[in-house]
Amino acid sequence: MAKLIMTADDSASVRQMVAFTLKQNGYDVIEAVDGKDALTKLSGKKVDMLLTDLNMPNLDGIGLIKGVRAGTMNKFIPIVMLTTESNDSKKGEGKAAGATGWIVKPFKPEQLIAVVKKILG
Amino acid sequence: MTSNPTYHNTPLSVAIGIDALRTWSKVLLPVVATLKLMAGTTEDEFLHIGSRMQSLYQRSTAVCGMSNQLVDVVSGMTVHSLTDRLHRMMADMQSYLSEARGRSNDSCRILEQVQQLLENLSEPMEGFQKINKSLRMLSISTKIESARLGELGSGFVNLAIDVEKLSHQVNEKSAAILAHRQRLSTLIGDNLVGVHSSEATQDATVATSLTSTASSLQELITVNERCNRFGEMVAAISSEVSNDISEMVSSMQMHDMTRQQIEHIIEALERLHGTLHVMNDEVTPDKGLAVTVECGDVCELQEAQLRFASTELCTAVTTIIGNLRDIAHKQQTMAHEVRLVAGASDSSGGSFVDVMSEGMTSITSALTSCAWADRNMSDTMGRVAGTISEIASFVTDIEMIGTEIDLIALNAQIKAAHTGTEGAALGVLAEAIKRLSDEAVRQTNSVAGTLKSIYAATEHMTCSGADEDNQLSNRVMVLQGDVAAVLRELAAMNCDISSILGGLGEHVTTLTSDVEQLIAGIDVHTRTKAMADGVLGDLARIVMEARSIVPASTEFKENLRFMEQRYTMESERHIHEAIARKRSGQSTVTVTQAAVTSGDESEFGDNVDLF
Repeated sequence: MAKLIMTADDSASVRQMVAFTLKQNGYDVIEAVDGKDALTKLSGKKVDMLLTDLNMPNLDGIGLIKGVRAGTMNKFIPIVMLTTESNDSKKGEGKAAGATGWIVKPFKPEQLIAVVKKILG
Repeated sequence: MTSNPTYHNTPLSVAIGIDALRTWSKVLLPVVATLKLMAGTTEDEFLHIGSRMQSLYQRSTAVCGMSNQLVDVVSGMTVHSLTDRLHRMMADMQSYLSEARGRSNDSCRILEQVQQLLENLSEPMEGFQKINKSLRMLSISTKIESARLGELGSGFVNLAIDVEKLSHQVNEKSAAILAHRQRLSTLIGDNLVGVHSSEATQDATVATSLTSTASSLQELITVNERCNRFGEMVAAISSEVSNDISEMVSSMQMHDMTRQQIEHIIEALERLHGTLHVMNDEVTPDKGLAVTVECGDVCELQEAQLRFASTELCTAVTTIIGNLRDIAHKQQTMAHEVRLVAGASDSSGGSFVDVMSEGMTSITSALTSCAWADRNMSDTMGRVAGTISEIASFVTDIEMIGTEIDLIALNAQIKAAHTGTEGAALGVLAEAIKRLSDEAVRQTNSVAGTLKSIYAATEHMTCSGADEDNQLSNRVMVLQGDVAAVLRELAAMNCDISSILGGLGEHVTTLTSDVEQLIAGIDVHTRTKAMADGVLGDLARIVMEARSIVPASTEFKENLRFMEQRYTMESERHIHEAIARKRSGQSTVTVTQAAVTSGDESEFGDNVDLF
């Protein structure tokens, strides 16, 4: 059975590219337009991994990580930030919130897949 | 263009520049509106491009799949099986043709031998003619002598009549033998001429068919080798298409990055506009100068940020267009190459398979010709044997005549003895008849010996010929069956090739057409560049006017420190630093997206960190 990965990003075209890359490699994907939407869709839904942008309206990536880690069902899933932000202090903030990894945009499809495979095995 | 017509005619105030501040405030409003348009209206276009890109990728993958399928058809098990069969057929044909030629040569040699042996019949035949004449003369002499003796020689009249009858019989039988010999000689002569004349044609046909089989075999081997190499080419093209798609996925993200950069520029300019908006005549000269400096600094920095963002977006879209063209070109090249590799001249059906089919048909023709020649030779040998048998029966008749002559001679001698001295002449005649009897036996033995030799030569051939004929006929049938099977497989392969080539051609044509259509519809980079150029012009003029009132200072970096909080991209920070260095008199560096990534490279690349 294919692993399920959520991508949260306020940019539809970025979500489209992430979903395309993952689906091409056999993963199932659900999309969320921001942190709040992601938390709503994750309630009662088990996913294998979360890829999230940092800067999003309503609830940003850090808030989303905290929300997921505070929950139960997806509490321990790997969460990778996928953002234009490359500031080390922001990375530290993400790591402290519970992020598993950090990918600075633009990503190459093979990079994303390598990271996902490394994390999900 | 966002330029305000009133802006260009505004006189600069050297003292405080309050009019300039108001004018810049008015200019910034449409500038911000244009930037908001840039940031907010490109998403749908990128989504559309992304959606088409996914479809093109899937279709491109399908084209690669079809190319591989075609390669499999002309290099898979079927071709290996055909190659093996053709190898076997070549060997069988060569063996068959060699045996057939050997057999034909043997037959010819025997026929030539028979022809020579038939020449040996001439002497006994002439002997029979002489016997015939002598018998007739003896018959006449006996009649004359019998008449002279009168009553005493009356018994010799019947003897003379018997001798005459025998002479007729010898004449008839020897004539029949001569006629048969002549017929046989003509048959053999005609056959030898036919065999020798058809040998050249047969050799040519055999050579053509062997060449054709060898050529078909070589074509299959060549196609197979080409296909093996082409398999690597398809894999390489698939990989290159994947690289194109990878680049496109990266480039597609530039839209989001550019949008964020423009949103940061909008924030900075709106903040500046807020500052300018509250300027009035009450403002102090120091405040006015400070705001003028801020205007110059902010606009110079945002001009640089926008120039970078606009260039990056334009480059990204140009890359996407280039990649799309590259994918279409690669698919066209691959479709063209696969046709050549598969030995197909065009998608309408002409392929190496047609050439092979023609070759196989000529092989069937050659085998049929050989089988016909074989049967023909067998028939001839059968007819030769039949004629020899008929001649043999005449020889038996002559042997019986010889025996009768012998009896007549004996009878004549007894009668001559009874007649005493008066019948001495008849005794001489009886002795002459006896000699003729001996001569007839000698000539008959000679004919019989010759016929035995002919019979011995042809009997071996006709006896073993029947078995060999059957074996060779069976081999020809097997070979023809093999050829028919190869032709059927080639037809099936041709059908597969035509079907795949047709589909491939259609796929590539529509894919290329769709790519061109998609490319023709992409103008987001030119539109955004036009908008950016208008904004850049307005910002450049504000910078120029602000700097003409108050020159740039080294305080630039500290004055704009607040902006750095908004930056999310390293590129923005680098541009900020570059402008700051420029203001402090240091050299600037060119900023590119690739150059702004951090130096800590993980196993996944320098933009990936796993905690």
